[in-house]
Parts: sequence; structure tokens; C-alpha cells
Amino acid sequence: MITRRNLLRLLGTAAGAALLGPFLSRLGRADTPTFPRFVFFVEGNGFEPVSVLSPSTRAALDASMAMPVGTDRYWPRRYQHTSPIVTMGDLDGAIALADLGSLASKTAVLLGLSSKITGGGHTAYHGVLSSTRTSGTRPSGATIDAHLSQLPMLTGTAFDALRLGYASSFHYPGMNLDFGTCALGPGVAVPLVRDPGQAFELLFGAVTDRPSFDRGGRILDFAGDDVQRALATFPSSSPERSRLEAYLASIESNRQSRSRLEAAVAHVGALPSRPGARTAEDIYTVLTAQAGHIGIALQAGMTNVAVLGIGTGYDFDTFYGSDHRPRHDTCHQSETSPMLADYLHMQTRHQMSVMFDLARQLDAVPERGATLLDHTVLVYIGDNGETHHATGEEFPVVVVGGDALGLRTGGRTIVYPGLDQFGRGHRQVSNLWNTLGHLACEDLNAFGGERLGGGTRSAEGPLSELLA
Amino acid sequence: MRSLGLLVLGSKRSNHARSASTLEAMRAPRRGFRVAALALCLLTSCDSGSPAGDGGTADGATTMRSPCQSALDLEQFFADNGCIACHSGSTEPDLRFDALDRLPGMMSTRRAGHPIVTPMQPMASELYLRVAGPEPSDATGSWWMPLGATGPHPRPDPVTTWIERNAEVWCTGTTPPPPPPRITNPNLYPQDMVFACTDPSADTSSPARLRRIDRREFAYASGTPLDRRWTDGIVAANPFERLPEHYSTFTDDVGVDPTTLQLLLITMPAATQPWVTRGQGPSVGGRWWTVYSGTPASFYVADPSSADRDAWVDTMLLHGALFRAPTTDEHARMRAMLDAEIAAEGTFSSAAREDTLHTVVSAARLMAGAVFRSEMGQGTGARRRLTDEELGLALGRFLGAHPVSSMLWGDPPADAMGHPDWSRTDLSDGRLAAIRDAVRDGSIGQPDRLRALFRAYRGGLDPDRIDLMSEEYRLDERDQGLRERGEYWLSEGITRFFREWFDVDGAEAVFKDTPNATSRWVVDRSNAEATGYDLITSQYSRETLLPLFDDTVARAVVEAETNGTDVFHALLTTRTFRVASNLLGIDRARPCTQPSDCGDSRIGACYVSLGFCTAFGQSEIDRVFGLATDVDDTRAARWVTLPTGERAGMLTHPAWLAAHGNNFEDDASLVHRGHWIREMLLCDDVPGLELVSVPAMLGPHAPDQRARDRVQLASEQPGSACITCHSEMNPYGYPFEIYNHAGFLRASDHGHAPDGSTTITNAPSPELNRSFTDAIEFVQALADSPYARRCFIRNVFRHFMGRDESPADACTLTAMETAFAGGSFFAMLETLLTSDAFLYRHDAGAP
Repeated sequence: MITRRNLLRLLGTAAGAALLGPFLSRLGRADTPTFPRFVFFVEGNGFEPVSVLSPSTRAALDASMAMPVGTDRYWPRRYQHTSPIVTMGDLDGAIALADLGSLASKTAVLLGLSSKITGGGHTAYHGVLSSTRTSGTRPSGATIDAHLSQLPMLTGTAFDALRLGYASSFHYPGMNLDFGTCALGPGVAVPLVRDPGQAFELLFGAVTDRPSFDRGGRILDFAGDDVQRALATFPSSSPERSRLEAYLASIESNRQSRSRLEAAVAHVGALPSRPGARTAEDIYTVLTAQAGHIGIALQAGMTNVAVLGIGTGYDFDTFYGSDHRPRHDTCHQSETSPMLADYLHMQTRHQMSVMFDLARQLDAVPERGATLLDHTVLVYIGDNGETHHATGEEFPVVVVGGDALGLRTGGRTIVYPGLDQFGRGHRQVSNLWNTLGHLACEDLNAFGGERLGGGTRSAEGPLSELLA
Repeated sequence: MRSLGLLVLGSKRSNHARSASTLEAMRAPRRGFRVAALALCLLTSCDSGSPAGDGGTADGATTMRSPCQSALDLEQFFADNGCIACHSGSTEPDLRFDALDRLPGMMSTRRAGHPIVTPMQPMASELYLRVAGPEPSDATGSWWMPLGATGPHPRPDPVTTWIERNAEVWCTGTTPPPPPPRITNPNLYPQDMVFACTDPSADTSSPARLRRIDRREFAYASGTPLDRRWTDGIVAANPFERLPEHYSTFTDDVGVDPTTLQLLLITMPAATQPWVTRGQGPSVGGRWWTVYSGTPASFYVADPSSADRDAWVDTMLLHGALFRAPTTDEHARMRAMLDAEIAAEGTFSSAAREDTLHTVVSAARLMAGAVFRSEMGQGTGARRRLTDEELGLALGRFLGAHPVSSMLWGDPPADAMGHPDWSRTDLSDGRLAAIRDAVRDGSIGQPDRLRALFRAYRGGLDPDRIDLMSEEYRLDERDQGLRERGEYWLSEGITRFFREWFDVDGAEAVFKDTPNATSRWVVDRSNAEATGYDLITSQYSRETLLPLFDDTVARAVVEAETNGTDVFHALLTTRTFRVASNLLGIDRARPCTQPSDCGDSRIGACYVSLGFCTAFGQSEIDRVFGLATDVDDTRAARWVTLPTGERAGMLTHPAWLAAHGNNFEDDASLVHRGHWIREMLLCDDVPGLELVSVPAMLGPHAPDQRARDRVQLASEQPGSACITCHSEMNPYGYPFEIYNHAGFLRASDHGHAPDGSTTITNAPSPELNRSFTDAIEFVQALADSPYARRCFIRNVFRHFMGRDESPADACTLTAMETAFAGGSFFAMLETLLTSDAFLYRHDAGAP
């Protein structure tokens, strides 16, 4: 079973670089074009703005609002400023950012971004990553991971995007896959793999079980041949023919992915142990394993886009810690218990630490005169908004990395004007996605369901404060 | 007068106005197109049959009336901006295409004396002013459109242009208009239209298709039961999940994308295990006992004989992959792969052989015929009958997700008589074996044979509940399991239909905060545990809302069929509910005479009348049904007739109420419930939130605010942007406010007596336009409504045909309605099963 310790050892600065030497040297070549990578950490049932509130930001807000922040844990309707407030220098003074360490200068906190179109609630499902509203269980648009992964500069990897997750009971039917967070388009949900054992097989099957990997290739060969034969006898005029053709294309796509995966994983070297199929239920053990998978996948070029969902979507009442404390119930109880509020904020801290650990590992990998982290943007966001019963009026965000891509973090907190400045200084989560699009040379004004002039989009364009 | 529709669609179709079939062939992902399509379809239905009309010729090639481009652009504008979502008939003005020509004659209801549209004068047209401004000084309430807009639309050109061009809808020209796109929401067809069988001799065949299997079929084909407690998650949660907004039998728009295939490959080691497991049954303790594990001569020898290899390939393809006889070519290729894999093993070992079998079966499961079931029909004609093999598979899917000939597993019943599959000499024939027999002997195409097969597997009364063998029981708990389930059963497909029509699958998953709130069961330890709600929705329990729902439906249906009464009426009015036993956890090792004998209240409760402690929570598991008396742990005692004023039919069942309820008791559950009534029982179209840009939020909770108060305040204020759409839902949900969000009967509601009163004024059928006291009275009216009954028939058609209905199906629907006139649901299904719609196919893209 993989543990946090041995994963960290695996990914340790020196060891990781040594293991990945040949491949990383290729990445580091000067003629290799620069391209971004994106990792989205999505905390189910949201996290509270107060958990990422630094002392200097608190002071600035106290000065700008009618009443000080005080004991409030979220305050989206109390903003009164009309232009962004920017503070810096003490990010690690925030509860959940205490483990930032040397990453502080490559991190930014964003407050004041709304995404009311998502609906908030316990979970907005695919809404937060797509800037749409999920209707029932049906996504209304592609999520940002899916959109970015299809940009020409980011395609050609074994996985268009690596989507992993954690659920409190991932080995129960329906829980190993989460269809409630990501989507390829309207009505087309795409799952997170929440069983770390399955994720391991997906990534490393080519080397951990070579005979099995080869058999997989023969299975696809047989299936492809069979579908081609079926097509040969199928009426050429039938519109149903396209189903078989699409299936054949999927088979071919998987063949190509396997080839890419095989090439990439060959450079990884020593692999982590395969996570236990039904034992590694502790949230931080699983998250660490899954983040480790993402780290290796990014370094080995298996993918350029990844998502790690933490009790997202239908699992918003996920369990915390070894005591299996249900998250959502705890949120309710915390309304009258400062101790439990602290407990929740510490959970957010632990979860963010998983992201920071990953960031540190990426920061140790050189790439084009900088580091892999400098070419990677890690985004930490809740899936519903500012609290466990959210209105979608504020989505606090933590952004790490991306310096070499033109992202300007610098240890700052940027507090955007609130909804009272809608149409003026207020900005939305969709503007953050647009910012990521700009890093990949893509304007995303049309991404999501918000429309300018329709009362749903405050402003087009990226978050200029985040761009160098 | 000849309509546009016939000119467009009827030119190559002899006498048959196959407009809807052609419509279905079109692909238009944008919802807005459906309106224009409907308009064209409406016109087609009005066709007089004349070969040529005004301005037209017999070949339809010269002058014709066609929609003005400006009108089409306008309609697209309405669609893109979500206008049609509300303005589609019940909310004036009607902005659908076929109603555009009425706009110039209409006056504003908001500003007296102002026309909606003044041709050629945008500034004198309220339509224009509402979209482009300026806002008139005498305007009241929310002015801007589309809903939620706070100012002029940035691109109102289509509105401007259409009005400037004399607000014309129809133009004369020589260019045929573009083909109409497909209607994606069948509720947009007026109900009368889809029951208007004007030409009984018309072709009523269905579009040919390749039907991709769904999640349940894949799991069952893998020998994996879907009961959530015992299954291996990776197979049960395979990626062939259904589309959320459709019946699981629908296959439009689903295929196998690269990600799905990638995930499918992960499932294969588990999904192919039954064909690898060594040893032969009966091995009743194991999950994977099948009669196919190995051939009569064990397959675990170094060099299986050629005959054994052939037999294994044929058996595996028939019972584990294709579920039909393989072709010679399929067999040969599979055999070649088997031979090659065995040869590649090197030195024989059991482990190597297991890998070989996994590989070969995985390849078989990915064959085109394993992933897609053909319903293409025989031959190359325009109208083709399903082949016998296709018909066998289609009949199997009609009955459920277990493929024909798929493996039986479990423990045979003590008395197999009366159980068609289990009473056979050779159990290896598998499930639905009589269908396979009929395919083999060529009799399956005979209507009487089809009816007989349906009757053998449709459901009825079975004390053994053999249908649950794969789902519920292990040998050591069979007796307990049988006590917990009712003796009435329906085939898996029929059970799924009711689950999906009522849309209750989410009943146990929708989070309920304080599920007992406002009920009579509010007690000091007032939470989910204290009312047993956690148990009746727990994944660790067996007596949960959904099986109780299934059993209640099954009894209502089977008893009505047996008694010759009306099934639809029974479903909506039955008071005989299957409930959970609150005495299941009685601990006879812990006698008690008073509560303290059982310790802390969180450990258990003393059942004084029985003299034993009971597990905490279990003692109150039946509270959601309002029961205050004990329910013994027997099959009979779990059938309870609930009081007249409390429950009536499946719309008052806690599963339906919970599935269509929110998280808190004062949330907008009534909107969800009203939405279901409107769309699924009245076949009306209610705009989805994806088309509405208004933030749909209730105000804050307050002690004096009931759910109906909060909903009224948020959505029904005069002049609000919400009222137009909510008026189509809220009145239909108010009756259910006598129940809370979890389905508990309310005892008091924020200082008021529970209030389920409503007044309906906008129902599509007049018998429902009146006041109702509560849900009990309302569901009785629905049960008596011929309009609601027709909507039920439409949904039956959708599920069992795996596609939406269209006007081309009018004669099939009419025949179903006739068969259902006596109240027999089974008779209606037999009519559908033997209809041309089920038996014949035509190319979907054919003109």
C-alpha cells in the first residue's frame, strides 16, 4: 500500500529527477516548445474563504467593509470595494496555507469571484468547472479540464486529461467512478477514477504487468478487426454506420494512447506500490496516492491536464480522517461549534497540503530554464461556493505555479469587488478559466453558460491582475 | 391547401406522410430547433393529401411557400435566448413558429393599448422594446427580456429585421427550405397529434438502429448482480451508464468514445471472471457459480481438444458475449484467437490459462455484436422485419436487462415448477431460455408465440421470488430475504420502467437534513437516526425505500391485472404499501422491561410489548410511512393498508416524495414535484433551468415561513421574472406539501396546519382545472384523467421502444390505448410487442 511517506520518498527532489532523467532531459531541450499544464483540485462541498484569509487581507477588508470580518467565515455580500484589493507577504498566515513554505512566492489567493450560474447548493456538480448549471445530473457544458485538454498544443498525450478523485467508499458500486464533476460537453459526463488502485493500473500497467498490457493490445486488435469486418457488411447508406465507425475510432485512439503511454512510462523508472484495492480508504492516504499519480503523469508526459476531486459531486457528505467523520454533517455542527469550525479548516489545510506537496515536486523538475511547476498551473477550488450550503456568490481560489507561462502569483491575495459591482469591477470564476485559456493562447469569452448582457456575465476577458 | 411539410417530406414517400420519421433522422443538438421542427410537423399533420396546393406543383419543384428567412432567424433568436422555454403555449405571447403570424394581432397584457408587434414599426412593437429598449416610462415590474436581463440585448437584430420586413412568416420562392431538424423533446408534440391515427394502413415501422448496450446489460452479461451490497463495484459501475434524462433503454446519441473504452478495459478482468473461474457448480456459496465454468471436460489441461475448444467458444459467445448464435466467421476468428493465446502460454499453468481465458473473453465482449445489438432488419428493402435473432434480443430487452441466454447463477429453487428457466433439464440454457428456443425453431415471429413468451416472463405472483435470485440472496439469508420482499413481481424491464417513469432512483441518495422535520415524529433526538430514516435509505440495509417501492408497484399492477381493474388507476390510488419491519432488530438475547434495561438511548430501545431490546433506529424504520404500530418480521405483516387521508398511490410514496424533494423541509420540493407532474404525467414542456438566466434561489429560512410561503415569495410575486414558468409547476406541487421533503406526513407546518390546497387553472386538460384540497384528492383526479392516462401510454411507448414517440407512431399509440381501455397494462404491452413498430424497421435516414 502506498503511503504518504514512501510516495514523497519516490517523488523526492533528487530521486525524482534521477528517475526521470532521460525523459526530463528531452523536456528540457531548448527547442521543445513551451506549453502549459493544468491541475485542478476540487474540494467537494466547498471550502470557506476564512481558511485562506491572510492577516494583511483581513486588515484590508476590515478597513473596506462596514463591519470587520470578525468571526464570520464567509462574507460575500459584505464587500464594498469597487476595485481589486491586493495584499501580499503573509499568505502562510492563513489557516489553510500554513504549509506553503517556499511556495508562497509562487502562490496567489483569489477572493470575491462568484459563479452564481452554478447554483451553489451542496454541490454544483459539473458547474464550477464549466461555469454552467448542471440540470439534475446532466452537465450543461464541457468543463474547463476537457476544454483545455482539447487545445492542439495539449493533445497527443496518452490521456487527454487524467481525472482522479477520492470518495469515502470508492469500492462500493457506483462510487469508484464519479460522473458528477467533469464533462466533455452538454449531457456527456466523464468520470473521475476514485479508486487509487484503478488509477495505478491505468497509468502503470504497461510496466507493472507487461504481459497483461500486451494482452490488452491484442484484445484491442481483435476488437478492431471485428468492427472493421462488421463495417464491411454494413449498409453504406445507413446512418447507424457512424456508430460503428466511431467505435472503431475509439479503438484506434486507445491503441495510440497505449503506445504513448508505453513510451512515457518507460521513462518513469521506479514506480510506487500499487495502492491496496480496498484498504486505503483514509482520505489523506488516498489523496496523496492520487496526487502522486498526477505528479508522475505530468512529469512523464502522460497528460497535460489533471483533475483531483475530493469528495465532489454526489459524495459531498464524504468522510474525513480515520474517524470517518462525515464532512457535511460536521459543517452543520460547526455552526455552533468553533472547535468543529477549526477542525474543518484544518481539513482544508491538509487537503491543500497535498497540492503543495505536488507543487514542490514539480518545482524540483527543471524545464526550459525554469521548473515544471513554472509551466504548470495548479488551481484549488470548491465545487459549490463559499460554504457547505453555498449561494455561489463567492468561490475562494488558490493558484500555484505558472510563472513561466505568464501567470503572476507573487504571494498575493487579490480580492475582487463583490456582486454589488456586477457589470463593473466584479469578476467571476469564468474569468479565471478565461485566464487559463489565455495562458494556452485561447480566448474563452464564449466558454460556459454566462452571457454578457444577459445578466449572467459580469465582464469578458481574463483576470488581468493575474497576468504578468 | 398543400402544406409545406408535405412538400418537404412527402415527395418520395408515396402516400405516407412520414414527416416525423424523417424528423427523427435529423440531428440538431440545439434545443431551439425543435420549435421550428414542430411547426413544420404541425403543418404536415394538417395535410389534406392533395398532391399539390397553392403555388405548388405535383413534383414540388417550382414555387412554394416557405418560411421567410427573417422568421427563421427570429425563431432561432428566441431559441438561443431561452424565450421559447416559457412562451410555448401556456404563457402569452406564444413565440413558437406556428404562432408567429398571430403576434401582429395581439395586444400587450402589461401596457394597455400597446400592440405586441406593429409590422414595419419596431419602436411601436412591445416585442422589440422588451428586447432592445428603451424601457417605456409607464412600464411596471421587470421589463427586460429574456428573463433575467438587466438591460437591452446586445444583438437584437433578428427581432428588428423581422418586424421591419412586415413581420411576415411565409414567403414565396423556389428554393426549398432547409430540412427540418429533429424534435428532441417529444412533449412538444400536442397530445392529440400523437394519438391521431388518420391512416391505419400507413407504415408504422421504427427506424433501424444499432442499440448500444447499457450499464445494466453489461453487468448482467458479466454475471454481476446489481444489488449494491454484494456486487463488485467496478463491473456494476461500468461506464455504459444511461443518459440522465432518458430511459435506460434509449440509445440515441450513445456510442463508445475513447474514454468509455478505456474504462471498459479496466473492468474486463472482473467482468470476464465467470468464464475463467474453475470448477463446476453447483457451488452455492460463491458468487460466480455458473454452469459454464469450464466445459464438461475441464478446460484446465495443457492441450484442450479441438472439440472442447469449439464448444467453449460457442458457449461463451452465446451465453457471455453475443447472446445469439455466432456466425461461422465469428466462431472461426474467436477460435483462432483462443488457439493463439493457448499456444503463447508456453508451459501450461493454471495461472497462464486464466490469463488466456480472460484475454479471449475480453476480446469477445468488445466485439461489435457484443457492444451493439442489431435492430437493422432482414434484407435490404425499405421496410424490413427483424431477423429472428434480432427479435429474440429485442424481446429480451423488452423484458429487462438480462440478456437472452445469459448465465443463471444462484441456488435453484426447491420446487422449480412454474419457473420457466429453472425447471429446464439443462440449466445451461440460461435466462429467458424459452425465447432462445423460439429463435431456434423459428416460431418467435408468430404473434401468439410472442405473446406467450411475454406472459411467461412478465411477472405475477411467486412466493419464491426467483427473479431475485441474482440480486438479493445468499443461501444463508434466503428465508430472511423472502420475508422482506413481497410475493408479487414484475420483470426487470417492467420494474425499471416504473422506477424510471416515476424517476425514483435517487430517492435514497438525495440528502435529507432532519428528515422527520414537521412530522409527528419530531422528538428530542430529532434526526435521521431517530426516525429510522438512515436505515431505510442506507446502503447497508435491504429494506430500503426502493425495493419497498418496487414491491408496492408490483402488487398494484399484478392485483389489478388479476382482478380486471385498471392498472393506471391502481398505481395512482393504491393504499396497500409494502413497509419495513421495525422489529427486525429485536435482540432476544437482551430481555427488557423498561428503557434503561437497554442502556443509553443511542444503543437501543426497549420493546416493552415484546420484552426485548431492539437495535437503535430499527425500531423506527417505518416512521416515514406514518406507522405507529409494530410491523412484524413476516412477509404478510409488511403489507399495510395506510389510512385514507394519508396516502394514495405511488405519488404519495416516500420514495417518490424523497426523490423529488429537496434537502430541507422548507425547501422548494413542491417545484420539483410539480415539475414531474407537468412533464411526466401531463406530457407538457417545462423550461429547464439551463435556459433560464434568473438566479433561482429561495429567500432565507425563517421560523414562520413554510415551504409554500418561501416558494410563493421567491417565484410568484406579480411582475417577477419567475412567475411565468413557476405558474406551470407550483400549483401541481402544492398538494404534496402535506408531506415534507423526505416524504413524512407533516403534523404541523411552521405554526400552521399542513396545507396541500391548490387551484389549477392552466392544465392542458379541463378536468384538472379546479381546486384541490390536498394530494389525496389531486391524485384521484389524475387517476381519472384521460389526458394523464394518455401521457402514461406515451411513456410506456418510450421506455419499451427505447425511443421517443412521434406523430408517425399515432396508430401504434392508438392501438395501445385501445388495448389499455380495459385497464390491462399487460395487454397494452402485448399490443406494442406485436405491433409493426416493434417488429419492422426502416432506415432512419430514408426519405
